Amino acid sequence: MPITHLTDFSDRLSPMLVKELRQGMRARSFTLLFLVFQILLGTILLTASAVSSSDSAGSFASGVIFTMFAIAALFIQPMRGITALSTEITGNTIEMMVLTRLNASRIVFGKWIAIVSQTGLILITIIPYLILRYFFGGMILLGELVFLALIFLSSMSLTAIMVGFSGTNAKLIRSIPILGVVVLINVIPSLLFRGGFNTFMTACTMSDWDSLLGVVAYICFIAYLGWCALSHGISSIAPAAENHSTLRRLIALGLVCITAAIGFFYKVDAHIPPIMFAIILLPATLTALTEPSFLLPPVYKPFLKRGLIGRIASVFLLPGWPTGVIYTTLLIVISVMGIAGTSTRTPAGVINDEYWTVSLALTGGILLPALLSAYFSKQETRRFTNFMIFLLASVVLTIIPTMFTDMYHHPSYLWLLIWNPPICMPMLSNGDIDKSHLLTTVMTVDLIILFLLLVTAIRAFRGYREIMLQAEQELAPPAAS
Amino acid sequence: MSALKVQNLYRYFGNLQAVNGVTFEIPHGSVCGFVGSNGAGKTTTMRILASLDYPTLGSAEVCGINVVHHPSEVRKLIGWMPDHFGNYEHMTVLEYLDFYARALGYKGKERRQRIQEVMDFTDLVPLADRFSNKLSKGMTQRLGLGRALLHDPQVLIMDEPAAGLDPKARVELKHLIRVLAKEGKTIFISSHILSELGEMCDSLLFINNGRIVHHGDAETLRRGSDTQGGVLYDVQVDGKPDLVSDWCVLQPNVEFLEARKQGGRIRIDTEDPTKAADVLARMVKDGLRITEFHREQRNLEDAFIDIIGRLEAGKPAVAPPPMPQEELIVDS
Repeated sequence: MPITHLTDFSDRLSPMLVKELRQGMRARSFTLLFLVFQILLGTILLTASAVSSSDSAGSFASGVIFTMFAIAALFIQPMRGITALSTEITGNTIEMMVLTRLNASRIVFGKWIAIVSQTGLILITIIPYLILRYFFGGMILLGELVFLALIFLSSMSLTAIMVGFSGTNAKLIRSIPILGVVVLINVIPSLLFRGGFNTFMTACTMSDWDSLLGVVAYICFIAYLGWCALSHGISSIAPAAENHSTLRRLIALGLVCITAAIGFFYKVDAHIPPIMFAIILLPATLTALTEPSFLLPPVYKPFLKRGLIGRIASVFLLPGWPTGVIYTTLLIVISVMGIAGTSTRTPAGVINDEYWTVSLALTGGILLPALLSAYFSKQETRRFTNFMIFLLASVVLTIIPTMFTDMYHHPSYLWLLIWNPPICMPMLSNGDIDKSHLLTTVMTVDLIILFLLLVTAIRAFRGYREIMLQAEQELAPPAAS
Repeated sequence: MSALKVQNLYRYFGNLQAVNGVTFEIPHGSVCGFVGSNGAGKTTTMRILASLDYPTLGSAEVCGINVVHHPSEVRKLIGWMPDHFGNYEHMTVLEYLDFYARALGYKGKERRQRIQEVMDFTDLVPLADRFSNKLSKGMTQRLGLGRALLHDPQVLIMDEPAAGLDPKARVELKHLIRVLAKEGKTIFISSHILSELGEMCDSLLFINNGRIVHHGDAETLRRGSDTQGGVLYDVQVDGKPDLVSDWCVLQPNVEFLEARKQGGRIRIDTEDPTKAADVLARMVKDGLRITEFHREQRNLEDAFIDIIGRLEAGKPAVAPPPMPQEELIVDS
């Protein structure tokens, strides 16, 4: 039987996208969502048109359309990415794909784009309802379109986070992003229905400088977050011979340097640099501190070819958590310098002890799980899972004792948990605790954790030596006979 | 140049030594069976050769290309069939092969033609529109083989392809492997079913605790000595079987093991075929009317157990003697 019916997708499309679309369009989760979405929207808009004499019918219809789309785009569609990579890993199919011309990036991006294009399909089907809604009157056209685009972009980012995390072997860890999604789903209807709809849509028209900056900043934020998540997913499935870490680390390093420079040379709101540093550092260090410590000669050779600079750069930029610790230390140092630079251009008292305590508590909140996972991860592939478990434990050990001490009015007991830096944040709100004393303590705790982490990392880094020597020998010119 | 060349290969997983100094070569166009108990290091070695894992030390080459330094080059040369692989939901057999053909860089007409060839070879055409996750184990293995053959690789690495197959599917798979071997492909195949490997393979590679303990052809193994270093012969005489046992009692280095209808099994404590000829000559000289005298062939499972047994007893896993030119069958 000759094969004739294999022309449904162009050869120009990525094989991964073709595969995911073929599978995804047949998946019950998509077809059901698509049909229910259409039926509900149709029914609700018909009801709205029946009461179209009411002044609020237009904004009600908009609210319904956006809420429905937000649920589909921000919850259901990203959720479909939760097992995107794990099913390939457990099914042993990822290895078969790696043996083709598909590399880890193409696999992960293909999976992400397939879900995003299905979300795009849902978005397109909304257009007739939006046209219908236009006739109800009172539509803030640009604002609503921008808002729709923002939901779509957020969906892209959330899908990226889900797909990126889906390479993790623990279901619990894969489910963490869902919490964020649930929060978003709760926020959007309240935003749309509690009288703030028009205000919000006006902000989305970007008619003033602040709202434009806000929209652009939000897009940059979700784009960076999504890219980091996808990059994390790529690292989790990439063979050891593929180096995806160096570029990611260089980009984050560049962003941190730019932010620090802005703090140094421009007068900005004192609260912006720390938030920027937190946004850049958190996803970048999360991956750097948890990468498996595998090294192969082909990965090290490009560094060797760049001479002394390459060798120095390799200490920060080679894949694996040992170099990740050194790289994270570098980022922290630049960030601290950036904040210090900002403090010289802001009025006295803005960047105070509390400001530094929060910054150091957050930094320690990342370093402590990294230290624990460095000691307790026997399997390299479980390092990220262990990190996340320790991070969750740290958060729990901050929230629950704080609740108890608030209940029984004994905040001094929180000092017992001072080895867990995030505990400093609730301690700050207590008037009985000396703030400067707290700052000194959290700084000491952070330094001890960082020191232990660096010692562990340097010890693990020595394990690379044999591979590095092998790479050097392979690159060395043959000795003259 | 060998199709596969492994030198001093080591692979550690923490404290576990999965592969412990493995060295072997497989020539082009040959079929080599890879045998070992569970956890012996078969899959790890095969995965390193398939560029899916990397060695802690040592080197592995496919057609002269190092798997660690040039994995993408190696991947063009090999077809990899893992012991277990999942199939995709909501994807037909045809779409499954289409996906891998696209991923391998085939386009348009060439892609369709290549899929057609593979489907014809693996007899998947009647299953083209079946969902790939609804196939039986045997069909799934055929699909897996089809996928591995899409880019027409020179070397096929197959990890336990016959595991879990029913006898019919096993015969079909064996047939496909034979055809591929005839086409000149190098096939490196692991299996627990030694008898099947013996039929298909030009050579067998035994691995135990991460070390190669034997590399030779199946025929030599069948003719090899037993655990006690002797060689077993089946002797049949025209007359009472007791004649053989009585004769053996008086002979040095010959032991009577078991009576049979027309004679019995004897063990001669030497692997030298000329000594066996001497024993036969003495029998004839002493008046035994020999109707049949031939060296017993062990099955490969026994040979494997023998080699492992020798190692566990601290004896070296001696290489079996070379195969004699012809059987010693004497009609009186």
